[in-house]
Amino acid sequence: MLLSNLESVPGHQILKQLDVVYGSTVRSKHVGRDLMASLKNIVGGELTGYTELLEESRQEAMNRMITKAQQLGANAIVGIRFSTSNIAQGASELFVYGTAVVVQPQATNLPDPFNA
Amino acid sequence: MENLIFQLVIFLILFSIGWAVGRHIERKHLNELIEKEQQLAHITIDTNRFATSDQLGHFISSNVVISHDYFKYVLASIKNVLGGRLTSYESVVERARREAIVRLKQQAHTAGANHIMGVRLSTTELGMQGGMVEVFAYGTAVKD
Repeated sequence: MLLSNLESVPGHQILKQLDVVYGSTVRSKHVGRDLMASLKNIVGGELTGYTELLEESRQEAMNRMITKAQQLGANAIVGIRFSTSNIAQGASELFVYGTAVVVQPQATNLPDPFNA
Repeated sequence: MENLIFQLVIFLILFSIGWAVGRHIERKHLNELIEKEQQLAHITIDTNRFATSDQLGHFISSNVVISHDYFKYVLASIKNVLGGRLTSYESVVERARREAIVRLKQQAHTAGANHIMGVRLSTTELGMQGGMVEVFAYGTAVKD
């Protein structure tokens, strides 16, 4: 699955637009992390626990979106957007959406820096 | 009366820890940021969502959560009454944004890309009393 937050996938041509796909997850932090965070609130700095938690949650939301796109028969998602909202105290929703499309490479044997 | 003194002592301890350690952490972080930004200066970024390339590109993202310190919290609470610019919080948000961009560039660098297209930044406030801010950055990395 090719992902892009642009209007197109670099190096590819869009053949068919399918549908908007989305994924979301609602996560809350556990007490241990909250406790560490309130200690960190005194001295400031990065809260690594929360950074990791949000990264994992976003990955999960993206995986759900990718599953939906695969069910539609897409091979790429373009125009990916994220939004985060605090829906309750200590819980946040991570939402991701995009357009599932079918793409075709413009040229064959393009070097892929990410799979090298 | 004793209770009041006790609370005042706790407040002063937290205030001075927040000031000393917070300032140290902030300075260290800013120095690290300057160093990393120089190392990654060869990676260019843009915010144009219509940009495209004939090379292959991949979606990348990065995030960071940064908290204020107690000193800044007290300073901001006082400023909240008077109104105006909260300079102490501005620096927290700025550090978070710069860190998120640096991490995004690091991801592009490890993947061998040298340009990131359509970069978007989103900021979310976390936590109960506020003061924790998350910056999430994403874009599409290509090798030109």
